[in-house]
Amino acid sequence: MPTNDSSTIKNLLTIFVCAGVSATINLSIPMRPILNSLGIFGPAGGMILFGGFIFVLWVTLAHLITGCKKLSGVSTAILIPAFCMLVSPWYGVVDPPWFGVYGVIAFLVMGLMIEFSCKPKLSFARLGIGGGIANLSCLTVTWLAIGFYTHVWPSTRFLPLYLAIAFMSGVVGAVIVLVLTKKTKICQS
Amino acid sequence: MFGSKPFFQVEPTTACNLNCEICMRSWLNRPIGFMDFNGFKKLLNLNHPTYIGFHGWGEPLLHNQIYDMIAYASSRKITTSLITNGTLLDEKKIRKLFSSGLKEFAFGVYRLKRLEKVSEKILLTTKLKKEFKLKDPKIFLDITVYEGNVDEIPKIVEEASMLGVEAINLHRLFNQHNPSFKALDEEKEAKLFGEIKTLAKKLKLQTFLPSKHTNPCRVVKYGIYITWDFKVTPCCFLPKEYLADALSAKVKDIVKSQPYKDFVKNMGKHTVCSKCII
Ligand SMILES: C[S@@+](CC[C@H](N)C(=O)[O-])C[C@H]1O[C@@H](n2cnc3c(N)ncnc32)[C@H](O)[C@@H]1O
Ligand code: SF4
Ligand code: SF4
Repeated sequence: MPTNDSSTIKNLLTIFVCAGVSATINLSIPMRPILNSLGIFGPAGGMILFGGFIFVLWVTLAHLITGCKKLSGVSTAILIPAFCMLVSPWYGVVDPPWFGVYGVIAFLVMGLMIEFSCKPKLSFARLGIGGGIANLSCLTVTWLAIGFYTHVWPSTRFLPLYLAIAFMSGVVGAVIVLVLTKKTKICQS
Repeated sequence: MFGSKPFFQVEPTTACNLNCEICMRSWLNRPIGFMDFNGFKKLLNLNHPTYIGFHGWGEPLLHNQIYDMIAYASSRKITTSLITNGTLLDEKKIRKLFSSGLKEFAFGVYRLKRLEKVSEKILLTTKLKKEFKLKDPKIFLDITVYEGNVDEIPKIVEEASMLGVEAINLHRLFNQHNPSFKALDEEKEAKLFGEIKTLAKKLKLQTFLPSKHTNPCRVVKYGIYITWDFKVTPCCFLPKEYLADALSAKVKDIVKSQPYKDFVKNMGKHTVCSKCII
């Protein structure tokens, strides 16, 4: 049995590692050519398509590994934009200088949704739908922020398609984690 | 090759706050106007260029929606480039340009004196880019080369490096209306370009030099010009060579049209193209 102290350290480590991996993947995927070839125009095209795999998956994983500890999902989620912003500003926007706050808000909402979907007990349907909604809500906050400050909005023609892809991406990301954790039994709960 | 036009040069405005002696703007006698943002969006809904250069015969920063135009193009994954005389820049505008997703940020210069006038603004731009840890935009000097400034070019390049500029783009001057400004002859040009290549390498500046002029020219092979009032023309040196309306036809169809084909076929005899060295 791990002691309280050692499990706290293990949980913190899990949160940092998962957030770090997520941020690293986000910064290293060559989004532009991929999105170009698929005809997905942004804003936040990467989040539409890959949000489930790059973000939802790692936040859910951290939350499950820590035994669904309260705020572990939220902490992992807000660390992701924080890590990314060490390398470059959020979506490259530096006007206003505090634009990065929107990144943190968007991921906070994502973290909350994921934590909510893990209660009261884990199920594929609940976690999957939660992951879909988590990616969608993060995307919506990001779209609103980019739209409001740079006047670029997603195309209304493709909006339903983008929403559907973002939702599915979130669902798949969350379900992959549940399958993995069940198979490997790394989940503490 | 002539069927697809990956490069669009878009003229945001014909208004300018300067009147440079080398520039064709004042000779062209064209109305002053600003490109309509909704029209610009329509242009991008009709066409899928891979690159847009925002510069025509005017100062793009005088267009108050230039940031929105760049951001809109960037959101469609188009590589965007802007050339400015730099005089109107301040921190707020630089931040807005950075935030728009701009990929190439160039300062148009042609004399050392002119560079000195905007050096503070260039320094502010490179300093802010470093401070914000931004990967883009690449900061350029866009240098026009001609007989009258050949001796100043090495000094301009050294100055560029001191200001933290990442790349230099040298291009030839062409002004069919004012013969007092002459482009370099081949020999002088080759000597200068050789010297600049060595210098830029030493200063770790990325360098872009123009290739040999051909007929048909490389501009026509890959690009097209869109004036502020949405007229499609072959290039910026021929803003009155009307081919079609950019809002009612796709560029890929315009270049299949008879007027465009005739233009390309007759470039060798064209009064302007036959003298062009670009
Ligand atoms: C026409 S200006 C427009 C953008 C902005 N107003 C500026 O001066 O940078 C774009 C570039 O063309 C250069 N230029 C001006 N007159 C030219 C000419 N006759 N031939 C070639 N380049 C020229 C400018 O120095 C600048 O580098
Ligand atoms: S070169 Fe640029 S700044 Fe100078 S007059 Fe022409 S458009 Fe204006
Ligand atoms: S003037 Fe003619 S030759 Fe020169 S760049 Fe334009 S199209 Fe090409």
